[in-house]
Amino acid sequence: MASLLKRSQTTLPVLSNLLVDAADGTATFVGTDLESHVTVRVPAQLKGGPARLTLPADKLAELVGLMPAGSNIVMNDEGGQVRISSTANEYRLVTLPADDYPVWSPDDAATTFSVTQRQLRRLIDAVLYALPAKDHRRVLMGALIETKDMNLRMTATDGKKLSRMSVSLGEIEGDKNARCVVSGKLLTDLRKILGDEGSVQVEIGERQAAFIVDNVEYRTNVIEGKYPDCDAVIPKEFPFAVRLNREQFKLAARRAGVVSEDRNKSIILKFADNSCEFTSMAADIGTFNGKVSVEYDGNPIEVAFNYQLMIETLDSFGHPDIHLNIKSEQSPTVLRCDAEPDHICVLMPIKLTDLRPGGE
Amino acid sequence: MHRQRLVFHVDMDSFYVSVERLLNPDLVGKPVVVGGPPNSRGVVASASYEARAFGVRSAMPCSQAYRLCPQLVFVGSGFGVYSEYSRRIGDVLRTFTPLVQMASQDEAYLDMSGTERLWGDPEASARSIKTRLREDTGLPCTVGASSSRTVSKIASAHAKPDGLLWVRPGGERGFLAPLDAGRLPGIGAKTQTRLRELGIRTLGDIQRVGRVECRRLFGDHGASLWDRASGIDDNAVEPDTGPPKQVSHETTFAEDISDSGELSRRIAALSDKVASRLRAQDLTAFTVGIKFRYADFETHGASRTLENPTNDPSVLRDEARGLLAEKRDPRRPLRLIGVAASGLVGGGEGQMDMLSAERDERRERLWKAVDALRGKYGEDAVERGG
Repeated sequence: MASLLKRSQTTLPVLSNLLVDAADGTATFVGTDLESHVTVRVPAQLKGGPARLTLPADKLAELVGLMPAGSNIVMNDEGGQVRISSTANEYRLVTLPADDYPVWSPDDAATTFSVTQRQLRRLIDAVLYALPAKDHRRVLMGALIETKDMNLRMTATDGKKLSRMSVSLGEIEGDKNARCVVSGKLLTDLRKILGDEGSVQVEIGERQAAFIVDNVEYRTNVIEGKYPDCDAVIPKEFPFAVRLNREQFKLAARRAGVVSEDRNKSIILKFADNSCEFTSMAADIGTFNGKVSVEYDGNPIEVAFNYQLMIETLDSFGHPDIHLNIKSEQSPTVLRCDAEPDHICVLMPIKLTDLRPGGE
Repeated sequence: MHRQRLVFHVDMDSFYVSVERLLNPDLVGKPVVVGGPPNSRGVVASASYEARAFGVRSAMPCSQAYRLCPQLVFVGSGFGVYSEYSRRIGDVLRTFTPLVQMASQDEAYLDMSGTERLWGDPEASARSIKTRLREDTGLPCTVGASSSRTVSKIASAHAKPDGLLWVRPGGERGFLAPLDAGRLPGIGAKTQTRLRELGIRTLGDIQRVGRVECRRLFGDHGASLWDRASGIDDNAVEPDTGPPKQVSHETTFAEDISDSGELSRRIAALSDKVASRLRAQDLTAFTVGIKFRYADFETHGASRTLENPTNDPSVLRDEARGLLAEKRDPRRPLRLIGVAASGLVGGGEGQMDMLSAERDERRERLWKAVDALRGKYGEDAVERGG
């Protein structure tokens, strides 16, 4: 639990610490990186008055992990340091004043709804791969979360790949059309505590969003800025429709990837006569040529992709039966899956000056 | 049948100064440097042989050159003039062989293999090149000729100024042996120090150490060191076709700068110029690099390769700023900073971005306007505000 609170990237020393607040039979742990706050409440027996102090997050996480399983942990505030002990072990950790700890002032939520943990986990799994690792377009560092027509929709994109999935909601309180961008970092953390049972309470306000899972609360500033209009870039009609088996296709992509150019990892797919021919070439290394069968009987078409992005995209689906819809060799390619009609992925091709290895 | 390779290294003699003398014959016979003025913070780009006699060298701060030689004449016509002469030199050289690689504005490698029937033996053809360059551009040069780039480059340096040296096949080792080890192109300060520590002074000393031992001492680099010190160098002359390898801009400050906000602004301005040149040639760059020089002339470089090639100034700027923040000691003021784009590919190539279309359209209009203004009024006509 404490490890979830651990936050990095701090300039303020106190931010490497967790705030521990003990009062009224509850110990509350708070961690923050100023953009988001995580609060965990656990029942605690209190002796003496309420206590408020801060402790180094990483050390607390580590030492708690090393305590005997199931043991009760006793924390004693001794002014300037805290004694943490189980039956046979005792730590004394230096504390920093709790008064320096940044206070979070919550916004009013305009929209509140509940979604099952399983659903939210699926959404995060389906879209998070499409987030950029780093992008100067800050708004892309988060996933777009929207409620519309009693659905919860999540979208992530880095411009090269896009994933969007929605699930239906039972009830939405307040504004039915909420929209915000939540950092990928927070969603990754949140994903770790989502299980198969139970639900998540979601609150969306103008500047903040919150996810409440049992005794854990994530509250975050939303990422401001205009999220790109993704509907505008997803093609609606496709002259080339391919149906493929993911596992076979992935294996072929991986084979071709062995000799792809390091720079853009490009492999070339040629669809014709119910088959897909994979070719790739890396200067100074060699070439690859392979074939897998697919369902396709249209005109031959040749498209180049980054094979790693192709594999990540295929993996984001919960089922191996995939439709690959191609508009042209230089248009966004759309991937869908019958078993998951509410999930759509887009993958941008690689533009090559000459598609054929060898350049003849 | 194995054909004997013949490589020329054509090196213009104090090129910038020679160009200045063409434009102003009064400078002939005087100690002249291109760079300056003497109280400025720039460095000497080129020094006449008269100036070199006073110890003035290229890349020396102008103030130091002035101290060494107070009667020194500082000139500078701007790089447009030099580029024009450089282009004309290339044109002349390409009439001798299509395989011409301009190594910089004032030096070129020529693959002259198999041209004997056309131009005579190496000495005769080198003489023809010198004469033609003198007639067509008015500029003097020195030609080194041998079976490899390395030996020809050392030969031209050896024969300067206005010289010609042909190292005959088989004579490479003997020619190199008595020369100082530092004459070998590409030997860094570190290697030189290490060589001195080992008592290795000449290229002949390196030859005697042997290839195996050189590799043990210096790694893979050692093997190539021995090869080149022995006159073995298979590197081909790569004619200048296709896009340039790098586009860069740098600036020496009027006063040293330590304020990171000011440095960020300078980087933004340099990034704009680099991006502008990339766009002019329809290129994008995979790699962004910076160069910075502390007040004491200690110089550093760093680079980062991007996932997607770019010619967007804001991407170049952000990467360059990030690199500087990472590598620079903020307590030490800088005198120079540069931004470079390399790993260049055609603008149309590479991973496509579905989101770039809309913003590109907006930006492209802006950049087109900026480029047009710069084309008309010069590179400094449009600067980034704030």
